[in-house]
Amino acid sequence: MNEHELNLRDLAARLPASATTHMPPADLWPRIAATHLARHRQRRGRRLAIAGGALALVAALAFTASTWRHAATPAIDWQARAQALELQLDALPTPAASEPLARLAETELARLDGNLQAAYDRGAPPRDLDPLWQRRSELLDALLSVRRQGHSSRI
Amino acid sequence: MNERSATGFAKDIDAMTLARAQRGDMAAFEEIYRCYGRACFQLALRLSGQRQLAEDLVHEAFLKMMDTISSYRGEAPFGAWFKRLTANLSIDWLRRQRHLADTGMEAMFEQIAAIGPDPAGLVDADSLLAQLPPRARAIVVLHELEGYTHAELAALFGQSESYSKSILARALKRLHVLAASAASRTQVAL
Repeated sequence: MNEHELNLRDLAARLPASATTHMPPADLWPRIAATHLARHRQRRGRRLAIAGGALALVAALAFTASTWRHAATPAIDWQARAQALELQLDALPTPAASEPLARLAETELARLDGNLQAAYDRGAPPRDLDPLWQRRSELLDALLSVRRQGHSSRI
Repeated sequence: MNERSATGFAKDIDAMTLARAQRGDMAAFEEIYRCYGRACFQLALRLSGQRQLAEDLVHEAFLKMMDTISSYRGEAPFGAWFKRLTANLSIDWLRRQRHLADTGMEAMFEQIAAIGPDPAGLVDADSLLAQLPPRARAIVVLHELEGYTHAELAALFGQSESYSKSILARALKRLHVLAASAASRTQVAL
């Protein structure tokens, strides 16, 4: 036979069908699924720990910074700051599903927005509004940090 | 072994299952396993030549698929994408485990023992393939059954195209000799 004509299909066609069983063992899928779930839980735990640490750090920094700013500067426009942070947050891609910590911050933000609206409705003075805008800035700061971290870890 | 589609990677998976799998749905992954598990095992078994090793390779291939399915964009059919993932991962894994030691070509083919008489007097293609040294077997399986080109094999094994062409030609010639020898033994036994 010419060497160029050699191929496995022709050879296999002349031979009896394989007697070898090509079925994977019945317990292979449960083993794969168990390993996948264990790894998934591990990664999720690591991500949550990192996000929790980052959130705590950001909150601590925000608190320190706000205390320092209060002492060092006479006035901060918290409303303008919150609006600037909101623009930064809008510029980030919307995550498919929020991290639990991000969800917490979002819930707190929604509650705070309700308080702010109520304060405006009753014509509250700036000294009442200012702490609410400050709290809103801090929450947006924290949420921004979590989203950025989630975005960079996906990249 | 006669038809490429018989490997099962040519089967299609519906878009809904794929979308669910990309969201990490375990039931969707199980459907993918039911669809491609056997084909994946068959390819791993032919590449490795050992059942236990093939199980480990399928295990790793499915874990990798589940981790990377979100990057699947549908440029090629899912089965083809997964087949390539399985083959690449298997070669990589076999190389790391030193199952594909790069011995010289002469030494590699000297390893082939004369084929033993099959208890049933029959020799099938898989038992012939199992007679080849691991690297030669992988090249034959990937080129002849899975449609890899010599350029792709060269990249996969980190060798020149002429290297894989040469191994393929020698391996096929050897398979034909082994088949003929087994057939004549069967004749004598009869």
